[in-house]
Amino acid sequence: MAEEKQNRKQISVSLLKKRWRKFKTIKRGYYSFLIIVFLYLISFILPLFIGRSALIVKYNDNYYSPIFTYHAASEFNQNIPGEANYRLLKKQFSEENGNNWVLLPVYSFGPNENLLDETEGNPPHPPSLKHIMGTDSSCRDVFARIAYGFNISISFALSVTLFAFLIGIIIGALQGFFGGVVDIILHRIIEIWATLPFLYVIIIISSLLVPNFFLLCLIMTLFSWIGITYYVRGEFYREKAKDYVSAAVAMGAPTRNLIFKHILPNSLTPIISFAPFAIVGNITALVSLDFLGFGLPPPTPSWGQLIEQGMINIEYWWLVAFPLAIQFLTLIAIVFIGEAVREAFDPKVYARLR
Amino acid sequence: MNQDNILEIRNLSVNFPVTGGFFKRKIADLNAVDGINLEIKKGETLGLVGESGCGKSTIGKAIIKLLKFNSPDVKVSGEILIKTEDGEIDIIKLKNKDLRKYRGYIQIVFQDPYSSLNPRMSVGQIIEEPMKYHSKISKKERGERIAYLLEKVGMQPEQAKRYPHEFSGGQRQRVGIARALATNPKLIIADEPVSALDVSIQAQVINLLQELQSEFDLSLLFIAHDLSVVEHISSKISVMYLGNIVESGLSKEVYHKPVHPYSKALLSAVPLPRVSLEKNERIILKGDIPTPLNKPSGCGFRTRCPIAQKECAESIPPLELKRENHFAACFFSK
Ligand SMILES: Nc1ncnc2c1ncn2[C@@H]1O[C@H](COP(=O)(O)OP(=O)(O)O)[C@@H](O)[C@H]1O
Ligand SMILES: [Mg+2]
Repeated sequence: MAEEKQNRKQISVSLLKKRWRKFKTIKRGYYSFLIIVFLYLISFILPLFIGRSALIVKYNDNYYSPIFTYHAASEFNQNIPGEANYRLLKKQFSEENGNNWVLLPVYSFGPNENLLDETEGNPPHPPSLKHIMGTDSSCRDVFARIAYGFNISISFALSVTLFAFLIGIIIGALQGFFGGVVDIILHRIIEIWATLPFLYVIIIISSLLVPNFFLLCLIMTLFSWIGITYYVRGEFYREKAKDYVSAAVAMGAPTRNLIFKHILPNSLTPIISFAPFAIVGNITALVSLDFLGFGLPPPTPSWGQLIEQGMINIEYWWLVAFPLAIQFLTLIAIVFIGEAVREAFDPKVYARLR
Repeated sequence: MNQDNILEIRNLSVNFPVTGGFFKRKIADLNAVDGINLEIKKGETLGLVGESGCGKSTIGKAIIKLLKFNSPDVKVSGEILIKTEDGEIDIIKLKNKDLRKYRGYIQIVFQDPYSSLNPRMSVGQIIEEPMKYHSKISKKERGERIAYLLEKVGMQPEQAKRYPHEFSGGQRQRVGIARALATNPKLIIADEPVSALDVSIQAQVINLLQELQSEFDLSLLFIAHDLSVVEHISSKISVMYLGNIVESGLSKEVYHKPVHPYSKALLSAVPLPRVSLEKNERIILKGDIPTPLNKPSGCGFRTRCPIAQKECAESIPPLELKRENHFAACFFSK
């Protein structure tokens, strides 16, 4: 028994696997990671759970799947303009008691859907069983908007972080590996670039054209790679001087192997532990831009716009509390992940967080 | 180039420019190696000894052309000739691109076993890498060769799957030696391979190097700052001081009958009772080694030399034959 345990301990693991194991032992971060990953994956098939379009409609012996295709109301003999309203359709079919039926998502309100016709009184409506987080001043369901905003926030932050890291790593690596003139020239360019005022550029661009998701990603990326180069450059300088790299040079390793096989994998530690916090920063950045009105165009369900509405209608507590609470929970979960990652990459054995 | 030699160094000088000030201009030249000559015969071990900072590693790195990689502004002059199948080549003149093919002839074992292995590669991958560049053997053959080399350096073939962080310093140094052997080199430069190890492990690693040397018919440039370590393994010893070779000869000669006052001082620092040293005279050097930035005129050693005279400041003593096969650079010592 004891021997078996010994044997298992003897199985050799790479550094990465070791770190992943250590990460898993830090429960707070690990569970946050699982939850965020799960929710993010779910958010790609969100229309199956939350949305206005029915999953399946059986009408006059034909099957339709409105979440994939557009169907005008007239196709189902509904007397409203534009797309069919499946909630009303379901009510109608069940009253008719015929062969027709509608399968709706669990939560059947879309993020951009105006529900004025189906609600009583003036918006915003307080939370109720039907609208669990109430409706906003344009009578849209707050829960649906928050749920759809999750995917936008995370996707935005992930893409910006990914591309900014990519640019930062490439430029920092060039500086650190080649040093000398390459380093100096790139450094001057970075310094010039860093003096461009990010907020003004965004405001100017947003006033000239309506920014969409990709344009915002691009602008944010262009302004957030700079810090990464500092880390990567420093790491490259340090690792390059180590003997294992000299050994590789002495055996005639080609430059690309020196960079990609030897130096790069050993230079990523600081920026990997930095990544979750960069994601937090980018989520907050999008929220701020949306809040200020320079972000994604309406009616995109973004968290910043929800919070802005909450500010304007501060007396309707659900417009303030729910978006803020959800954003807070998301950010804190990612911070937990970041803490755990940092801890997992820390060579010291005894962790604080356990 | 002499028939028996595998390596010949002629008049090698290495200067590191020292930059300073706001504009990073060159303000001085650090003369780390000052016109030295060396030869290593096939299958021979040359011990290179000297205090730290005297330029031993710089010579080693010049031989495998590593200096430019980390100090692009370094100035290297002289000739470093090695014998290859394609005749003799001068490493200093050769472009990196053309040199790559000959990289396998000379390999190096580093001082620090912790930084000399890539922490992200398994021991097997570390030993395999040089084979990929220098031999056209299949993956299976490479695996067999990894196992063979691990056995040769006194480890188990199963340990190929392990990562460096799972090993002790001595075992890592063995991995470093296996990596150096992987290309079937003619010459191995061992740059203080045991200085970072526990004393109890040092002898093991030195013995291992000695066994491997005769088995693989290697030539060895063994660098150390301790004469007693070198004496054991080398057939010849060169003693360095401040970028110059001050004494060179057969190992026993230099160890038991040193000529140069610096070698005598180095030896009297060895804590073993040695019969041959006359009446147990102990030479304790005054002061520190001068910096190569500000070398004394004439003989570099004169500032600390017990027998220095006026002439020593005026001209540099040449390395001359003092006894049979025994050279020293001193005007007064016999
Ligand atoms: N890359 C470098 N840049 C500037 N000076 C260097 C560099 N490498 C070594 N030196 C200097 O050259 C001298 C010899 O160094 P080295 O060959 O490492 O000595 P050692 O005999 O201890 O191995 C030292 O004074 C050292 O400071
Ligand atoms: Mg050294």
